[in-house]
Amino acid sequence: MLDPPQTNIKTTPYTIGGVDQTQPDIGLVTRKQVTSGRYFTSGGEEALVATTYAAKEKLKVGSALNLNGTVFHVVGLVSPPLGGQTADVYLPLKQLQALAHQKGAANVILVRADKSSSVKQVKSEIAQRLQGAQVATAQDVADRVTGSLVDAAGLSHNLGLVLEIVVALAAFLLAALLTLSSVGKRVRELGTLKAIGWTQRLVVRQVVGESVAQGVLGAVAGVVLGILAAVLVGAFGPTLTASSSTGSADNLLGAAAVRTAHETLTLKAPLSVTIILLGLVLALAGGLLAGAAGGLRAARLRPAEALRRVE
Amino acid sequence: MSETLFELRGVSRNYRRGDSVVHAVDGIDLTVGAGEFIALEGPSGSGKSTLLQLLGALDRPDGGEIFFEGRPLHTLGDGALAELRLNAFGFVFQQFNLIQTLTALENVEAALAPHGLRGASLHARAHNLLDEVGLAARETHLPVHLSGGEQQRVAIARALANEPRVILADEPTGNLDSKTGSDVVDLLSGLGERHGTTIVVATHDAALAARAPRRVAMRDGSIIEAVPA
Repeated sequence: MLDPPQTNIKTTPYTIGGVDQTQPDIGLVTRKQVTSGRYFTSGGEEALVATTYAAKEKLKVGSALNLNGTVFHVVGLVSPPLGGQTADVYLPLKQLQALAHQKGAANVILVRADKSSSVKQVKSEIAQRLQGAQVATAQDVADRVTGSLVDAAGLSHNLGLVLEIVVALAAFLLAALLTLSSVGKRVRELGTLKAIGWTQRLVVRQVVGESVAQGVLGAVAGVVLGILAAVLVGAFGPTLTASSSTGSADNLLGAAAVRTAHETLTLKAPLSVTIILLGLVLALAGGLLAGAAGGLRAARLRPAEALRRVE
Repeated sequence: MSETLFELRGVSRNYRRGDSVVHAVDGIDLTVGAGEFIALEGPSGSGKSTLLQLLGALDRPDGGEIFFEGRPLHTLGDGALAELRLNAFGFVFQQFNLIQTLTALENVEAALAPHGLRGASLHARAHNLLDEVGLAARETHLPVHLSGGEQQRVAIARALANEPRVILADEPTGNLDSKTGSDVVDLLSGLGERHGTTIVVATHDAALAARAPRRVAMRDGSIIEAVPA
């Protein structure tokens, strides 16, 4: 049997957005969102590239970008805001229309209201005048964004918060349980101390003192490990990929455009003095409370009973 | 007979084991004079260790009365009993009951600490006590690095820390070979003679009991025979 025919064609999907460069302060991307290089100065073969896409494709200001046989020069890198429609590459609108053979066509018209209170009215009037058009406010778009950076950022923030709470509670419970377990194993020893004349108060003071000392050591070790882990997460932190599912195949000038744009967000483990102090206090409190409770329980036993305990 | 130290009248101590009640000590009458060396002898379960714990204020009787130097141990509060254990009694246990994380010296110091001794005076007193039992050279060793006989000597030094009027020893040779056990008994009796300390030993070892001037034989929680010297 002959080998079946195979191809080695590789495809790299990306999104292209057309921008009316004569309106640099409104559009899919604005000049304020340029992080390096510059905004469009003409309607020529210039391109702006999203920073994440540029990093992925190793593009930089001055790079050449061949799109369907037309070479565009990257004049700037941009970082569009979270939550809205985004693309990987932005071209002057007319260039993109020519490239897509859709002269004079635009499928997204951005309108800016003078004030936020009139957004609803403007939306209503546009919908009346342009029958069949899909009219969405910025809020609508944001609401429809799923898996976007807004969610990713929120997820990252919430995840961090939940993790902080879980870790703090775990530190408290671990300190308490370990102390109780330790005291439980020392009942006979504490009984011996009572047999040789130690008062209940002295026994409790001894156990609490040891618990506090262990708590301090444990808390310091925990803080050092936590800082180390945070530094490692910062250095090698995993990234969350977010995909915008808004719009359709027609969104950014028809079939030539790919529907989804990808963004990445690096997970970070923020450190704050408050968190560190909270961890220290909870670990100490856990050891202290458990030490006092365990010590008191053991010290209240009659010495004879404590001495009978098998360790 | 010398001045009365302990006086027990109808003392009993019961334990609940499942649904049944064990009469560990069952209506014992006993008098112990100051400076005596007494052996409580009997097999395991005869009640000698329980009686020893009642004498040493480690436990309270369920019935009867125990007087120590005229003070009613059966009615004293926990604080008063702790004060008696601190100042009047010294204990030696079969398992030595040394604190494993402390050195020999520190184990003795643990018994001195409640007396308010600190620093150099604490070290000096603990060192002297270990010297008295022949273990000064081993004072920096942890219990795990000491032989059974050496550990029991540390325990005896600890029991002597408060210059007790009574030493109560529960099977002090139970974990020792016969030669070492004999040495420990010699040490205890010698200390008793030198310091005028009353010594009460609970043992199932007839040979050890035979070394005591006064023997009290126990079975099933009762005294079956008292052999005066």
